[in-house]
Amino acid sequence: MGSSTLNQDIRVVMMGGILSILAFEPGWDLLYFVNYGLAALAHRGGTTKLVCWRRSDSVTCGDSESSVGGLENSELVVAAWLEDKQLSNYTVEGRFSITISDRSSKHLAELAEAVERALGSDKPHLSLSKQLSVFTEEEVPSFTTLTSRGELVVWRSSAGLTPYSIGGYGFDMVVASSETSAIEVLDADIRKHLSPGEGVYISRKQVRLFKSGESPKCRLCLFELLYIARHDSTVDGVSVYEFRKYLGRELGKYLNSAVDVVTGVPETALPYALGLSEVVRAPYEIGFVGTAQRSRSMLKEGIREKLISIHLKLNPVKSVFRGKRVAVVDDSMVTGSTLKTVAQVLRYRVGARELHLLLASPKLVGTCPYGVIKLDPTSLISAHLDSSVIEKYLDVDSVSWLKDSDIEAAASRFGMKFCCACFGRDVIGGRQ
Amino acid sequence: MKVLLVGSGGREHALAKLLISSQNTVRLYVVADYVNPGLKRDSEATGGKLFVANTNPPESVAAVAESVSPDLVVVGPEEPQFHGVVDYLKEKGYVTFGASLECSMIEKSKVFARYLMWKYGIPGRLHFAAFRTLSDAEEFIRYAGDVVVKPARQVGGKGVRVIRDTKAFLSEVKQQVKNQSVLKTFDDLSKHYDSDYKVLVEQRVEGVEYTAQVITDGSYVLPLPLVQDYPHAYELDLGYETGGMGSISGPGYTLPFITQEEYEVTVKIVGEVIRRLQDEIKEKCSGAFAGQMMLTGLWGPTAIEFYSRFGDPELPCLIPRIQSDFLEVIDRAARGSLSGAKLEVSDSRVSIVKAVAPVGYPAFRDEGSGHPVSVDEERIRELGCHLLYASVELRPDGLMYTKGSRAFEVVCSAEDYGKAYKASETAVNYITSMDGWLLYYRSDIGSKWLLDERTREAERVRTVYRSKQNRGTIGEFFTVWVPGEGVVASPLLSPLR
Repeated sequence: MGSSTLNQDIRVVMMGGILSILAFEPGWDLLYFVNYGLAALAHRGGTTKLVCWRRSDSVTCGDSESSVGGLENSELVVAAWLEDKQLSNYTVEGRFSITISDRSSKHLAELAEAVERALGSDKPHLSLSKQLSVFTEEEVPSFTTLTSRGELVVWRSSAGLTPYSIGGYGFDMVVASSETSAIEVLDADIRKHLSPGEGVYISRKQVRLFKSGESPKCRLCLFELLYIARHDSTVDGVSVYEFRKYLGRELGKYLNSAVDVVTGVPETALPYALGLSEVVRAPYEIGFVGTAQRSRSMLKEGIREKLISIHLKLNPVKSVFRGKRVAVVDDSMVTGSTLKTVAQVLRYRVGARELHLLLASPKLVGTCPYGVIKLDPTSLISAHLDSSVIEKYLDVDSVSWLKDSDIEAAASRFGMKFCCACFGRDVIGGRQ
Repeated sequence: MKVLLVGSGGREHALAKLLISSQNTVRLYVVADYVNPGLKRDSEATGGKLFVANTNPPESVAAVAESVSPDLVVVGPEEPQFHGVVDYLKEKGYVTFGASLECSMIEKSKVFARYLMWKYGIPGRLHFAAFRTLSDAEEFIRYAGDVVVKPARQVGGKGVRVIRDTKAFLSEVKQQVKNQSVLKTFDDLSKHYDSDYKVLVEQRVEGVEYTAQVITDGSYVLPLPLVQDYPHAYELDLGYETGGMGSISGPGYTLPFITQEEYEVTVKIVGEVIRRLQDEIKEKCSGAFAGQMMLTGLWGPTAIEFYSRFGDPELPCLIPRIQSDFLEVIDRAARGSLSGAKLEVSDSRVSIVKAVAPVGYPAFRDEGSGHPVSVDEERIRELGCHLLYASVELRPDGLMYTKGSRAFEVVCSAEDYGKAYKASETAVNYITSMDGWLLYYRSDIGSKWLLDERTREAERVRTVYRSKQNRGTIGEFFTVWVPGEGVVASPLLSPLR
């Protein structure tokens, strides 16, 4: 075990912004594909782009700058968004593999070892199926492995918490990505949403699907559909946009006051607001305009960074709100800091008459035990304060959440099973 | 009746099986480029024989015919046709099934096939541009956009590059690949002196592909049931283009995702192409022809390419479904008396073909060649499946060795796809490698999942072409507005515009 770890590198990328490409035909400069593909995953978080590619039996890893020129004549690349501020660049000659997982886990080294063992065998896909079948615990993440022999292994965790999709570009390329957005942006077609415990062994000479046993507890993290994925993505066959709009319509039953306008907190909440607008028969209005590039405030770690990100995306369109009764929709409430800002802006700077806040998810009450998303249990507002206190703190007329039963109905309608651990429920949906 | 079959692979083995199942007593002779164990066994079982000879030179095939004196010669593959084997045999007085040199132009020259469709305004035609010189092609490809680059001559189905180019931010890199493929195509075709055009650049379309095969005596066109083949090497429709890793057929004459109306339009297109081909070359064409079709948003049924022979793995898929005396149909076509012939096809049965190939196929064929393999044909038969021997050769040591291409095809049928799929997935396991070299096949072919995918895709393009039909713009594709000049239909100009 000890000696082979010298030939491996293991990286973790939170939220799973991973992309890999194998070109069957020569002559492609994959740099463009990596850059635009990563751009299509940027919403999943991370600050630095890691790019690893294989060229004539050597593997080079580095930041995206280092890959300029290097990717010419490379047929195999894996890329991901990392939290690291800086990456050291390296090239390894001879046998080597890099594994990138979408969550940190104590099982990672073991997992990478198992993959390495399987890849050495005559029938790698069968061996992978066997070697990985023991990793059924929730803590085992999905991963992508690239080897110096021109192989790619993509595996979706048996727990199924995060999605993984495979796409194809004509006869030329296979594209694997943690979200379908990257596949479609790269002009490729979505070919399959891997099911939990399913993987693909990919090389120029073989592409083989394998199954390593699905955990009986497999389910998708609800946050994937609520917040993480782009509206234009499809997760396990479910249109993210349709799911969000559906939950928005469900919010209608919790709005007990008449409103003049409905708006959503950019950008995730827009389809929820559209759904709500449909059922409460109040117009949906574009309420805020962002400045600088889109950023995901929930994924920022430092308080100051988070506030900067919030403030930059919330310049209000004043005429929409002045003197109006407003329903503001968001996907969830974590610390309440975004919504506090929204309320302050709409009340004091714009002069809204009433503010009704609607959250398209149940109350967040706990941390994520699987490390899919970072939630600090001490700062989850709905875990610590009553609704009436939250209303006062946020300075809104009402605040409502969806109930577990609404998520149950959504799960059944879309044929899904969700992990809702952070909402205080182990699983919602699926045949139990 | 003595029949001489020309050709060596899986298609010819399918033909052999269909011919020897005739009511007539058949003595089957085969002239093949290598000892195909299936063709050898099946011909010997009828009291016939397999001759090994180069099947392209007419004299080499005629020499075998002279020793056999067949009542009927059936020419399977396209290359012997391109070399004039059919013409030569007919001149010598043999009743021969297969396209003549001129008739096979419809397959050999992709430019000719396209030209014909435009000249006679046949529906389902695509815009294209063809080039004799590299510099013209290079100049053109700079502005070609979303296209397919093809060798202008049929070269075993190889060399086609489909380069979807619909996103400007990726265009630059796609441009490089288009340039390379133009260069490579010129290079590859330079050894084929029989084609003056070298490169065909064609409008790219997307949709659901299927094959429409017909048999004709030059007057009467007898359609066979549609077949869908799966060209991608690997599962999920990923990877290289191959000759076909499998196929499905049924129920009835159409496919689960093709409507009766689309089927009828398709047959009409293929029939019209054959009629106009004969007008153009002023010669009657008999034999098997096929349209490689695609249901597209542009036209509905659209012609991608034409074949002057049966497809492989298309014909194999029909083995369990054809109930008529196939030999009789073939014989009547060759004698010009096909009129009124009917082909009885099992309406209720569907069939699935899966090709089994050595790892290395199709891009690293040398690595996939020369591996000993064995089959348990009895077990495959017990499942109600047929086994076809394709790119596999019997050597003097009595063992079978792979030749680098698709080695076997299993053909399974049942009353529904679920059952046929199950049988086919079991059957492929009875083909094993004796030296540990990996063999592969596509597990997704025939599965409900893939059928559903095709159905969804067909529905998507159907919505588009029907909307175009309603607006009276079927087949029209406006891409460029040149201020001052107006809207140009396509940067790919047909020669007739």
